[in-house]
Amino acid sequence: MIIREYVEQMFKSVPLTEETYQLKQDMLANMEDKYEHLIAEGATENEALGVVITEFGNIDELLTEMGIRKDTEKTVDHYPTMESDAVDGYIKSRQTMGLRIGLGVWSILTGVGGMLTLFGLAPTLNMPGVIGVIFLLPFLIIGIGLLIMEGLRSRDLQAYQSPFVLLPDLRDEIADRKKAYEKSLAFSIMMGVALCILSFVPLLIGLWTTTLSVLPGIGLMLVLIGIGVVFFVYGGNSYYAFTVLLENGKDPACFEEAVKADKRMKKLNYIIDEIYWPVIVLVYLGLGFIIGGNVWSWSWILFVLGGILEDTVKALFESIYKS
Amino acid sequence: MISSDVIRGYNDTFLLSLLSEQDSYGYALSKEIKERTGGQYVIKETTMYSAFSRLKKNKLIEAYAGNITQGKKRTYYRITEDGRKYLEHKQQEWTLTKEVIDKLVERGENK
Repeated sequence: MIIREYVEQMFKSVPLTEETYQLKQDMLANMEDKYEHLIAEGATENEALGVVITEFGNIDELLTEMGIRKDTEKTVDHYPTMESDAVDGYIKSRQTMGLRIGLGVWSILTGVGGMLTLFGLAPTLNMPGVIGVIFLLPFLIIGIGLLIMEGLRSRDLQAYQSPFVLLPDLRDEIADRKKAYEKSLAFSIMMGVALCILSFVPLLIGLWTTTLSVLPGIGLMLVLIGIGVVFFVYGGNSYYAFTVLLENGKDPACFEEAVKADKRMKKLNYIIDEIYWPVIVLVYLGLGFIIGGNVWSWSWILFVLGGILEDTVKALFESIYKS
Repeated sequence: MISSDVIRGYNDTFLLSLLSEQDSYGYALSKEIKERTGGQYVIKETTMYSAFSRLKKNKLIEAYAGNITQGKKRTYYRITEDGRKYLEHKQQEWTLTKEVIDKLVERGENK
């Protein structure tokens, strides 16, 4: 909208503080009200706009009165302000992303699990190897597809990885929501852990009984672990969304210092986001196919570790990067 | 429309006077000024916010966050006790000013 642009332009060289931010919002609201009122009275859009802009006045007069000095070096206007709609959108995207990454991993594990199960049925099947690989392929494609798709999508969320303006009210609201989410996170982790523990049942049955042979045991185990990973990754990503918002959303009152403080770290999170999971998948598949054999029975732990360690790895990289 | 140079010194008083009736926010105040003067005086946005800033600094008004109306969270202003005293003083001053100016600037008829 033109009025917003006009006001942004007027405030372009005004240092961003809580006071000037509020001032800008107030003036913008007034001008929009005035514009709507004029339109309602039958003015054309151009007429209304003309009136609103003439009646804005002179920004220098106001700044002098308020004792605000203009910034010569411009940093402020490069940073967006996130309002509650945008914040909700981000949280939702993160949740979807977590779910899809989780499903991607699940799909890969299920593909591998199914393949192993089919290998295990060797005596009753013709060409179990071929059938197994044929079973693996669609799951592998869907799984890797999901991971790549979500990797690319994380680029859309890039705006949230660099500092943005978050008003104190909204920040408090997000902090509350984060706290409220802790229960769901605990539930997700509990489910994930429970499924991982449960996954030993088919393995043990495979190892020590005759009802199931070893390979199908491992296969079923992988499927169960895959479901567990969905819980880990979904819960983790949803929770991480709040953390990102609170970390990068800066109070306009001390925006400048905050920006300087984490300017250097900006890119890091991204690199991790985009390569972390794909690398884990590669290592997992690599280990399994190159070494082969009973590696499949333990290498799934990579996904579980990956989910649990995601934040830790990030923190580690950050501290290395900082020093 | 009246020249804003002449009226400049009175903007603070206009706003105080309107706020002495009830708490209000930016657009409502400027609209009230426009309507009461039949469009003869329009206060500019920056002039109004300069006045708010001055009045706040002198503790004649206080700002507070209003409820969200039509999706916008507005800053409301209320007049303080000091503000009321100052307004009263300004009202007396205006009565006097009016008399003096009437006597000196008045056109023809009474002479």
